[in-house]
Amino acid sequence: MCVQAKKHVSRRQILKFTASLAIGTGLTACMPAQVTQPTVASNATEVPVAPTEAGAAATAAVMPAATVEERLKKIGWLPGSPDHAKGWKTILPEVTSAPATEPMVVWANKRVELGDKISDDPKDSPMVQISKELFGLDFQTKFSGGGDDWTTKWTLAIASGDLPDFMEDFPTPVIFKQCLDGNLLEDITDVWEASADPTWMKKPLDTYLDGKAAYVYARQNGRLYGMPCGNRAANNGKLLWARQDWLDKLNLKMPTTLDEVKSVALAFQEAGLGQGAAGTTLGLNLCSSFRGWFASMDGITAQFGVISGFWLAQDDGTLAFADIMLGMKDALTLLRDWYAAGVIPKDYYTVPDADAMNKRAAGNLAGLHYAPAWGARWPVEDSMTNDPNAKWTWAQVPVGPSGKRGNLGEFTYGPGYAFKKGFKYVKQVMESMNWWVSLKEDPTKRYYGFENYDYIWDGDKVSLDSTKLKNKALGYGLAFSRGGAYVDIYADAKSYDYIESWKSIPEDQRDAWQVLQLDDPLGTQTNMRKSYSNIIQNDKNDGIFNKFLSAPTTSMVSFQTTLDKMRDETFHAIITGQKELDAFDQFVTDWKKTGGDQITTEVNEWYKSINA
Amino acid sequence: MLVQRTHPVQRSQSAQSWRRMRAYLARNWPLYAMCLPALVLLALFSYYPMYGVVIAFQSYNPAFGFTGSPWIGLTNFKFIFNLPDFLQITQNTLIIAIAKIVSVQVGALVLALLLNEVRHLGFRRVIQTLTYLPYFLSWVVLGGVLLDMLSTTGIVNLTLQKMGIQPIIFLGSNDWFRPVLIVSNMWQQVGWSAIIYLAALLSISPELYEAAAIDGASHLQRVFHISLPGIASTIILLAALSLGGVLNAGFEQILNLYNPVVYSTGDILDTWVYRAGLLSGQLSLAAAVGLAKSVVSMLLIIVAWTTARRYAGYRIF
Repeated sequence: MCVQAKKHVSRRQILKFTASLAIGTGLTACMPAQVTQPTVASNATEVPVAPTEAGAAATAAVMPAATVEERLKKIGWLPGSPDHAKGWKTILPEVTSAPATEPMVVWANKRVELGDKISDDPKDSPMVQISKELFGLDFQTKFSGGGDDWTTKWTLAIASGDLPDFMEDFPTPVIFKQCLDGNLLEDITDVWEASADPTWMKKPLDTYLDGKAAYVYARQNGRLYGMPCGNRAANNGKLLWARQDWLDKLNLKMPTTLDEVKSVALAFQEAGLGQGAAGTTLGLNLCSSFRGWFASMDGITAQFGVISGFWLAQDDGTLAFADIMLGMKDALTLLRDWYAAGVIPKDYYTVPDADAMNKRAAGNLAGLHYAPAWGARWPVEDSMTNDPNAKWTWAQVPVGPSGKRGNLGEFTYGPGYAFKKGFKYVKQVMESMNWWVSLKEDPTKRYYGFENYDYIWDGDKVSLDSTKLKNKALGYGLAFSRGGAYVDIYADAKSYDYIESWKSIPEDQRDAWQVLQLDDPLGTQTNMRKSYSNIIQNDKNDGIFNKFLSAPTTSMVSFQTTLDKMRDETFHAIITGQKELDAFDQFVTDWKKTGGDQITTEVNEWYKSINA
Repeated sequence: MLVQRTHPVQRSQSAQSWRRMRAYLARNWPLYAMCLPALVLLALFSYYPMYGVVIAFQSYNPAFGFTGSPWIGLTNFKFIFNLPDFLQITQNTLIIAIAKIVSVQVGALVLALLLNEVRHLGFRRVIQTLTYLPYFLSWVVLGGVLLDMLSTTGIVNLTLQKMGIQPIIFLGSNDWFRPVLIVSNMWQQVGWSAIIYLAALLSISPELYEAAAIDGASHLQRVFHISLPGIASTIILLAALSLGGVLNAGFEQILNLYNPVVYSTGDILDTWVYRAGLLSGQLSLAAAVGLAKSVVSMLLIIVAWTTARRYAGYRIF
């Protein structure tokens, strides 16, 4: 009996013990939240340490003797290599703003893509260190990322009310609009007028197109909510690239009209000059995009005055959508004829742009493609590696039957950099941006970054060997935008002209950087610089610009997916001959019915409002 | 003031049941306490986020949050059902999903029966491993491989060309796109699905086979009269359960293989939501489609469960 009781109790005890253990574990699992509180507090107490640092910087700035160069030398972040025998000196702009009196923490974000060799340690970042020394700004990263995650991180930051003070690279126009609608952005109109550098910040924007275009995105009701930042000019404007050695072999001339493109493409194909198996040589390398950055159709449709997805100015002062204009039907008629004749790949619509470039062009399967000026290096360099005899040449995009040349003029400015509502140091950040932009976008200042980070000395020569360089460091703001973005979208072109001008310097007098830039055995670098200036020069006459430069309208957000699908289906079906040409007229009717008319009205209301 | 009058017997009954309840709890509370952490987790991570479904009825802006975004009722749902391509994408979804379910289940059954007949254990294991390996490959990888293999200059078309057949643009043809989806999905899934059938087959007593063999039943007869009836309940169960997946036509696979030309046969609910919701930032619209899908799937699961219980004697609760 006693044993029985004992047995009974012990079972209950085990149960109780396990249960309290479970509860205990549960409680301890919750504990860390409380435990971490002191650490958060200790983080907070760390902040007051900063004043002494910044205070020291401030007193240093008061001393009149220290020039910018001395101050940068002191902290070990002087750009350029002035002490090297073959070195060069970077001319540093003066700092005109008042010295900092308090520590100014700026939370910023940064877009980084997979494969970027970037260190996010602020100690590694010349930009962060120099901004602290010269302007008293303490940049910190709120979040970084890229790809699909980038949008998600932004949405989370907005939803949790935890936006960075200084925001980079809105992933989609919709996100920018959501921030604006939610009243989350600081109105920077007054600070911009008072503090933005007239030469390096305002002038490029005020002189671009009609002087309004650059600001359109970031402006709402006449107030400015972001510092515009543009894509470099001629990044997407096209040239026709062709295999010179194939042309020579077949005794052909570089095509200057679309008809000649057709005959050359067919000749290449017939001769089977490609590197692949027999019968795999393609005529004109084309991918599935109607408008894009490589092997897209815009170089062809532009000859008919239209570029897919663009809103084009009409004679009556309104905007019309290019996809439903008659020029598009003509362009499709031509493409349909080309497809039937075998000029363009039979499976072009299953080929993404990257494959057209990396597999077909670099793999020497095709001898003709439309590509921007950077096409001088990509995929040409790879193509030359795969076939040492490959020689590429370029010409302006061939004209169509109308004889009027057109080209993609996509020099758009996005919303750029915005500030969080209530952020106190907008003026100070803008002043530091003035300094950085004038340093980086003026080729005559000769800023090429920092030894060991951006270049490395190898005896008397500089090298850009990325395997030997230290990880690049995060930088924030206009001068550190990703993907060749600038305030002055012609900055790149200007620097190319500047580099070309070095050719007049006798070879023995060139410094190491000049030697490096002019050392171009394949000729691809020089070719790229020349093709850039060619596009930019011709753009004033040929460029077809999208006049709608704003976040999407309400109806656009609702109907875009459906309308895009309708366009993609119809256009590809017409080109491949699965549908008759008349399908285009049906598409126009459907497009108008399915929200297109609404969108057109909204776009024109917007257009009127900015031109008022 | 009303006084609730209760019958003495009733009261004593309720008091009695309450006492019994207390005794039960006093005895078993540790068991409930042990369930608690799991329940908390479930509530926190599975039920609490469901609250976010309200954005299907809102014009959602993350800046205003779930509570502050303007309420628009059923507008999102009306918009979706009135879309010109709604019928087409629903049709595609159903056709592709059903074809996939049928092909994978039938394929798995046949594979399992074939493997069951293999007497050499080593050979059987090798085949089993080889057939279920593709299950672990992501469609991002498989998609790239298929795109290459099926391109006009790919291995399949080069072989066809050698045989004197004109190259076929498999992934760009509305006649070929669905078969490619279904066959490639079958290749990926069939080995994995066969495992359950194999397990069921192994549980059939070998004596039955031996007895049938002695009675002179052929291999085929044994399959039809012993193997199939022996696993009939498993077949019905799996078929019924897969009904819940009838609106899932395989987002990842299609996203990696499709292109605008095959929208008319290959665009499904999920890919449409992906383009509209994630690429164009219409979170509310995407949530509305997701919610509608969940409701239909839930109904189907209920039907499936009832069927499974009735015909296969299968119960979860």
